[in-house]
Amino acid sequence: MKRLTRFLLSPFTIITLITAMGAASLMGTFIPQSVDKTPRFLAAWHAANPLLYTVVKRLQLDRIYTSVWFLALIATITCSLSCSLYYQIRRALNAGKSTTDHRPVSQSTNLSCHAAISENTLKRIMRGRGYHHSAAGSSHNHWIFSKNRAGLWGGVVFHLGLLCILLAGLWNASLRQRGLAILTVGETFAGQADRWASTRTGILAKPFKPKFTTRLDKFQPRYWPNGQVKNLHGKVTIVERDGKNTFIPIAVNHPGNINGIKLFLSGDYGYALDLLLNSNSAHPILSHILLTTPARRNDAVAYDMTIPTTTYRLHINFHYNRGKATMLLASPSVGLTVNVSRVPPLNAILLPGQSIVLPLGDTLTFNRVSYWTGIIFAKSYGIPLLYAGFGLCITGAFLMYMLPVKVAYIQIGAARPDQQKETERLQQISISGRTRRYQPLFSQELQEIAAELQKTAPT
Amino acid sequence: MILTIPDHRHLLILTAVAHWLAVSLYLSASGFFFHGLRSGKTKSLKIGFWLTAAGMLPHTLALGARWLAVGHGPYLQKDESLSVLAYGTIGMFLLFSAKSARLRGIGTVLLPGVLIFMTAQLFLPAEAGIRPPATFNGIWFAIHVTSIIPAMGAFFIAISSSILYLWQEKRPPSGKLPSLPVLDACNYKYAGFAFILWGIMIVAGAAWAEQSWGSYWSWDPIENWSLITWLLLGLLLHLRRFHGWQGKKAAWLMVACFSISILTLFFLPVLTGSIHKEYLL
Repeated sequence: MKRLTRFLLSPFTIITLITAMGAASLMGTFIPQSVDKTPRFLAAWHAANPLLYTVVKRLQLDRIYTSVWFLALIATITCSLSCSLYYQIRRALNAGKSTTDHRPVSQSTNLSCHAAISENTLKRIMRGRGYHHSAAGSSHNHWIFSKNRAGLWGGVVFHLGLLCILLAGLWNASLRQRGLAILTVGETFAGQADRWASTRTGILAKPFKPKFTTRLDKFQPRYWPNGQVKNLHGKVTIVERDGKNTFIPIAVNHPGNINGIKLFLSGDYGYALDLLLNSNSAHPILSHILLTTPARRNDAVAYDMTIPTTTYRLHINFHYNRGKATMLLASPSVGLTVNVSRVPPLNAILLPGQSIVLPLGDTLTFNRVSYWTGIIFAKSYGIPLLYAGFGLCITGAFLMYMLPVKVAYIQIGAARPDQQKETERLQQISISGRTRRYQPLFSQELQEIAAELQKTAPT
Repeated sequence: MILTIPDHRHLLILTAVAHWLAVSLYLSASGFFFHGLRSGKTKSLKIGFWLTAAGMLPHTLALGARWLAVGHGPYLQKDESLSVLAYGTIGMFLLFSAKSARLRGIGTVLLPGVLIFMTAQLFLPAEAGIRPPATFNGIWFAIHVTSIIPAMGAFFIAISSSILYLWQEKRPPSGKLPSLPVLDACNYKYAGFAFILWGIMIVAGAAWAEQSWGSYWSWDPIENWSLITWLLLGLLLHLRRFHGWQGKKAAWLMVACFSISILTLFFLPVLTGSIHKEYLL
């Protein structure tokens, strides 16, 4: 056990772990990760580099952040941090108790100056520089002053924060559930496995199935005058199992929250068109087409499709507001080119609700247009712990590097016997100090203290 | 640099004039710092300091006028980001060198570096009328884009100390420059400061991502490289603490940290696919 503790606490191990973490992040940048890339990309990469692909797959480098070795690395860092934290707390407690001891000064600056100075003047000068007098350490000619005592706890607070972040990260990585669903306005989603566009769950998490039904009631993009998206707003109705309905507004950066599951607007959106084909010989066919957003608000969106089970090939040019293009119509419209074999192409423009008769006698109706958008359902774990860790980390680093502990020892030697009056006595003053960080800067500060003492003292 | 929005033409002309006035003052200040360093005259260093401080006035005016003209803070386009990073760096240098006059010589390295940032704006395309995307709001976003400014300032002071250390190490002590241990301590102190501010930037970015997308860490290339920069700074601080890395070795490691931070901020978004791509250089 002692050997293990020694191993986890050794500077070599700590530096190796930091380096390994950096190396893992580095590999994650250069090696294609399966969660970020499409199956087509991965297949092409496999075909181009078969040997490299095998090695990458074997070492789980294509999913670094969920690989066994990365989790082992995080677990080792967590153990090392826990051990280190235990010893740091002990050391800080001991150092707190021993403020006034007379241990050998490890980082010291010894200066001497001649001055006749009273205890009150000395304390005033040191107070002006932010030092506090440690009363218990005083003798008749020896004073101890300290500054930034809170800095003693900087390392503890920082590493405690890191530990909180790691534990929260492990907790979340194990149990988190996250899924993206594509919904058209008016559509309902009950969390069916086959209706998720994508899901990402933790190692120990169950398949994601929210215990409520979501209906997208409203979705509205807002634009800047130059056509850029300014904001996206939506409204959803949540129907819980007991039949309770809740209306939740959601917007970018303002997720909705229901039973610990947050609902985010994904930022993807576009137009959804419903085209209905009424055939004389078969059942009506409804085509639900999701178009992506055009680069600029009033640009047309083009789309090619074949109506299922028929030979009709459609080329669609959708205008959200054709008025901008033609000065005639000021509503959504579909520009259609219908191709069927051996018949000349048919061109038409349809407004919502309008129909045309196709070359083979069927009727095509532009039923309606609405928005579709992506909604991310996310259940995360350990978020409060994570934020607490963030706060502790920053506070600890601030205490460590901005407020390093400084202890100054000031000793006033005996006056020369030939000087009778107390105010005229010139004393030998020794100033030394101890700090863990920035010793040369501290040394300069001690020199400035010595100069100030000499300046203040009557000569 | 000059954008063409007719309504705000005057403000943009004012921006350009104030910008180049600031550049001229910084350039003159660099000359005085260099002279002070060569001759050991503290008066030159003092003049350099006051010229730098004077340059901050038109620089503030340039940033403010542009803010009014384009209707958003200096965080959206590449040229304004560079300008505000330069501004933060100079502000931090003034604060730092006001306290310790002997360390003003660091301006010899720092100001030319900042001038590179300010001149690089000339070569960057500036598009008129760009507006912030929908996700660019909230307190975490504000902290995320603000904390990088002093972080780069701290980085600049640390790297300037390191470069001066490496330059001075090969020369006999002249007494004109701060001593080697003092430069080394400056490097240490500002590396610590950069570590804190870079950490705040990462933390605020993670919180912002959680608010916007429901995931505080996505292992995006820019996130990864920010983490690598932060880990490298952590490594530097640990090596100093445990392995007594000081002086030359610490200075070289600082050079590596700084290079990676520049790579992360300005070049990686161009080279890799990243959610930050559209917002960075």
